[in-house]
Amino acid sequence: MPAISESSARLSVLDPDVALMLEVRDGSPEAFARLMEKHQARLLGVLVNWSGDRQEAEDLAQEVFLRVYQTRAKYRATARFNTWLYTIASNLLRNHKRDSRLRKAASPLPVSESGAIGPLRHLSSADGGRQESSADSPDGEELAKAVRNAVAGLQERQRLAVLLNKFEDMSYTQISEIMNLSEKAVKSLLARARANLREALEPIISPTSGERRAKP
Amino acid sequence: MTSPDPDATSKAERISAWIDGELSEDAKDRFGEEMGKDPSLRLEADLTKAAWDLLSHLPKPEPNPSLTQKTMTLLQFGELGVASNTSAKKAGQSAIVMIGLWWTGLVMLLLGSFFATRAMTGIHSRTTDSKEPFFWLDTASVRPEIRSDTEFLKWLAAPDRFGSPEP
Repeated sequence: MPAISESSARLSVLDPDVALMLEVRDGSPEAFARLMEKHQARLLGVLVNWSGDRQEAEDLAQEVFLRVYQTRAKYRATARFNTWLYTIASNLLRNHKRDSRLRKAASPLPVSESGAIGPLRHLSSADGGRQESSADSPDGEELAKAVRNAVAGLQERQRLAVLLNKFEDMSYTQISEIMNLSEKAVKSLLARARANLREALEPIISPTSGERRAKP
Repeated sequence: MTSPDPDATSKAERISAWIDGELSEDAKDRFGEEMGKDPSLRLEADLTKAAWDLLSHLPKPEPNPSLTQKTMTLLQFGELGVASNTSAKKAGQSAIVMIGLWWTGLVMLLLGSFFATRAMTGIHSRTTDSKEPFFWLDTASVRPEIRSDTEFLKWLAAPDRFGSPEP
């Protein structure tokens, strides 16, 4: 059984998931199941909003957890557990997107009836009614759709940075470790993402701005 | 492609850092003062924050209750699969080595038997000297002009070859 260093022990106190992951590394399936239960909802949230396809997101989430378990021997308690988890997820998404691009190059993108564009094309129909909808009224549904489309319109890296920041409340430092970027690059990435979101959602947040622009 | 306006980029980054609470205390105070003096900056910051707050409308899906169970089952099969694959690989390698040894042994045995038999019985491979006559009769030494067996037979059959017949 590998010895736990002082820094690992300290980190385990700060982040209980680190202690669980160390148990997983030592071969505890129960600890792994607990980690999964704890993180799957937020991970799925990031993946669903990143990919736009509920089934695809579930498959990806499962693949992420499988990889966490398969690479458990390499785990070192040098950062929070979710940094490790989302680093694996980020690498998986990069490969997944590359493979999808190759597949899409062979077949044209189907146009959805809902009008959703990009990666969120399946969300409105393929969520199986399981998602917690933030839209209770028709207006709420329209708003939710507009927000989904705005996020879908972001560049992939911007989208991931936004989702990590929003769903996992991650700092620039953590996002930079996960995405293998400098903190400055993350800062810039999030600033551009916010500017793009503001532009896409301007008709909602400031309905008169569109009219103002239209008038000379 | 035009490069982005550095001032605009800097402003957007400061607004973004302000929303994320990533500005230092000093920088936050300075930014607050700037917004107080510049209504357009205030408006831009407010709109950006309002757009950001709308992300709370993104779906927060409930995971499939069976996801953990399914993943754990896959892991169990995976571990067994890895174990059985390893065992199968090892068994396969052993079998290949054994078959190889058996075949090598058999070939060595056959070769040994062949050479031993050859040595004992004195059987040699046939020489390729097929021009060697079946009978050792050097016709050329009898009569040099005889060049073929037919000529030799004719020469033998000559009536007075062995003296005249007795009366």
